[in-house]
Amino acid sequence: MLFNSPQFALFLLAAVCLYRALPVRLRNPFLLGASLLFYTLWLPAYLLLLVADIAVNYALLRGMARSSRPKLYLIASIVFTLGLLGTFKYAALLVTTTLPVLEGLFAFSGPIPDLFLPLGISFYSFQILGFSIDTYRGKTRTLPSFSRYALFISFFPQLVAGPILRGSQFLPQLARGGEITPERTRRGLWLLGVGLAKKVILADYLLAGFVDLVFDARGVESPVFYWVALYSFAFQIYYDFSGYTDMARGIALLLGFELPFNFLEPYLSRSPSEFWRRWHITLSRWLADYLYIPLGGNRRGSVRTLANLMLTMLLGGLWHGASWNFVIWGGIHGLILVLHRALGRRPVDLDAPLGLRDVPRIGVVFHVVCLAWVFFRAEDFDSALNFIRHLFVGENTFGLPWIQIGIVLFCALLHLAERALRTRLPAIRAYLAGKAWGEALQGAVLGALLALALAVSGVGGDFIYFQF
Amino acid sequence: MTARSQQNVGENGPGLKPSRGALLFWFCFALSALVVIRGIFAGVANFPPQPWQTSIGVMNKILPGLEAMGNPPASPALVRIAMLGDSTVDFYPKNQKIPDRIEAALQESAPAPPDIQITNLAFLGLGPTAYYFLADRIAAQKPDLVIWQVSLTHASERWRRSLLRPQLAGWTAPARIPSALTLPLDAIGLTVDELLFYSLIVQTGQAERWQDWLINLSRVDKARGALDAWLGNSPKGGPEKNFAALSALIRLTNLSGHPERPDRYNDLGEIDHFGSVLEGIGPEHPTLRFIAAAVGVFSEAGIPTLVYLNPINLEHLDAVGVLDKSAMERSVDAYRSSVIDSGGLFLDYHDIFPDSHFTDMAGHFRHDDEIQTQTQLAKKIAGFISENKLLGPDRPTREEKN
Repeated sequence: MLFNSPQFALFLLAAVCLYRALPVRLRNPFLLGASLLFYTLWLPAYLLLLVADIAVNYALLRGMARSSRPKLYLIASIVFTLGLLGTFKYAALLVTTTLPVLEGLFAFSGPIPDLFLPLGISFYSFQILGFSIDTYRGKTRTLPSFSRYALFISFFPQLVAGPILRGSQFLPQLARGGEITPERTRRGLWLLGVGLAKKVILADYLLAGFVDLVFDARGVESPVFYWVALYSFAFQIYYDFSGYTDMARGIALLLGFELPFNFLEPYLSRSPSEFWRRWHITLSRWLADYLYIPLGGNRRGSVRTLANLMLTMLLGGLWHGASWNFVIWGGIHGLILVLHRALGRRPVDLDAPLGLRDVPRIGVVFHVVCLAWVFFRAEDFDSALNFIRHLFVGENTFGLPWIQIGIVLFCALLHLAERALRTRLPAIRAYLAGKAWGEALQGAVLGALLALALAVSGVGGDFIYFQF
Repeated sequence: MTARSQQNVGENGPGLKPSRGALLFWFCFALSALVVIRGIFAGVANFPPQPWQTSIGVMNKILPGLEAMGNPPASPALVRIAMLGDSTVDFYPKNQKIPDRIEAALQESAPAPPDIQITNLAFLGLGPTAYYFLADRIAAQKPDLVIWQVSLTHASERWRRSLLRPQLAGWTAPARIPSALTLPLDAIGLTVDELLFYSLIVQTGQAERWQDWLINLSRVDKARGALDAWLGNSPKGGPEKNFAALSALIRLTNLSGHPERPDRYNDLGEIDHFGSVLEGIGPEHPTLRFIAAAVGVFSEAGIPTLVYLNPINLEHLDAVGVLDKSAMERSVDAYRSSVIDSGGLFLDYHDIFPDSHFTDMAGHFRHDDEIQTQTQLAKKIAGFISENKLLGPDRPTREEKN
């Protein structure tokens, strides 16, 4: 069920109203039921997979808590969870990659697996693994009940595309129960409205069409079109994914829960490492805590540190999809992180104000990120190279796509405005609080935003990150 | 009362009474949303609606057709036939569509022509999945015979992707929904929530309102297209060049046209048009499972179903080098077994016409003074019906048919 679909609107309305009407003790069980129903309504058969993943891992967690050899249970949890993920997500890639070798060496030929990717499996697998590792590390004081653990993994607002939650973030909230307050409700509605508008108006209506045209066109020789498509895609994927995250956070707030930030104006990053502290934050933190640091992090010499960085980013790329293009995308980010560190990185201060002197660095990081996106978006490696070649080779026979340039500039300005607004939001809220005209203004703006999003929803599409 | 439970009721204050601020917020929210939506829809009201983009637009034709079929029939002697298919059945001038020609051919072929009424339920782009969702409604009219045109293109990924009209799932009989869930809905881009949502709309009688909403949304799209075109054709300089460039770009994305024959696809186009059928498919293919399920619904209701495999332009497929005859035969066999195993009758006409009998890349038929493809096809179908006494009182049993 897509967040921008009418059936989800009905589901959400029913779920929020019933949830709020229920006594507090029944809310979590209700939410678990609603989450499993949400997943079932996509493809019923895969509910079994989700439930099996949760049940088996919970049994292993219990074993881990009681056993004198908890490592065995952790290994079992990792093997089982990654085994499912690997089977459903990477089996086809593995077979298509190894088949030519097997055919050449052993004259072996087999079918290429054609499995439908279970919705959100990459996200919930990482959430499961994170909790198992935390439990092994002794960070989980008491094991939650099965139903609470199941709700932590399957919580419907973030089940299919994150943010990836930690047990320490969410389980205490579940234990307390959703805390519904007027402030959270208002903030939730705003996030829902802004997220929907980002997705439907910006990503789908204004950006996707041009991106698809240029990425799918062959024989176009106008570099300017490719540059504009490059920037358009950068903003499309940002508004698509951050729009989803805003909606997920907004829905959680309506249910009384806080979900973590996943984006902090990533295209205003002054360095590659800052970018990864602003883009898909919950994933990069997960990769740092459960992959980079266990590999040794920066504690085993500079060469090992750089190798760890590279490996983390390559695997982070592969996490996004079973395609070598994603590995290359991760590799590019790994390479620039390695270079940045090798050149002597500066400490990242996310709250440091931006100045004119930051513009060149922001420009360089933005363009490297944009070029890496080509491998993320293109159908295959050749298409990506072809796209990059066209950025630099060819004549501008078509003229300039002024309107799309205008849209890209508008998105860039909006990105700047997001930063300005985010830092001033508490003050704005405090100023509007309690004023009748403030209530009226908020209602009117939010209503207009949602109505506009609905009126252009005819061209809506899937969320890009749902495929992961 | 604990601090937390106080917090949870604090939303609406004691006794769930909303605060004045909250009331003002929601009033302005609703008012502003209404004004914006009304304003946008009023602004695009003059743009032509595009009901054919919506399934409900399709149903505007199908539902009156079903009603016209009548159950029970106007006279006991009347033989009622329901004709199902896509544009290759329906996309011709009035009274010259395939059902009209079959009716005429049946009148000619029978020694004692029966009183026949063929109801044309075919429509542009209506394929097996759509007819599966409509099967119970058609069966409820108890036609004496169902003639159903299916095509090898119906199994292509493109057909499933672009011509599905998933909203038609809303017309599935409620009792059929559990068995519909066992079919590969995901392969046709339909999720369970969509199936239930569309059913809810239809069952609660909101289909027309939903259609109005969709038509308005299609007008918004149309308005944007018109704005693009206006800017593109503007005689003045300025931003219009952007749109002329976009139009050129759109043309460049059309990679499937044949370089020498504008009315035919090239090899890429044909591969896209026919999809995995060119490589050979089996009865487990999602499209064939929907065909089998739909024929099964008619068989359950005791309605004989004659499924014919539409003629395709094999000569052109061969000419552009994408025809593997053995793979194609595998696909045809899979169609045949899907129909026969579900209790239907199957006619394979996929290879009966040469290239000259087709007018366009979509496989529509040529019909002029020189070549009258529709009539030839209709006569073949009518001939089979007469020879096998499908309309007479001594109709063959299911065992005899197969």
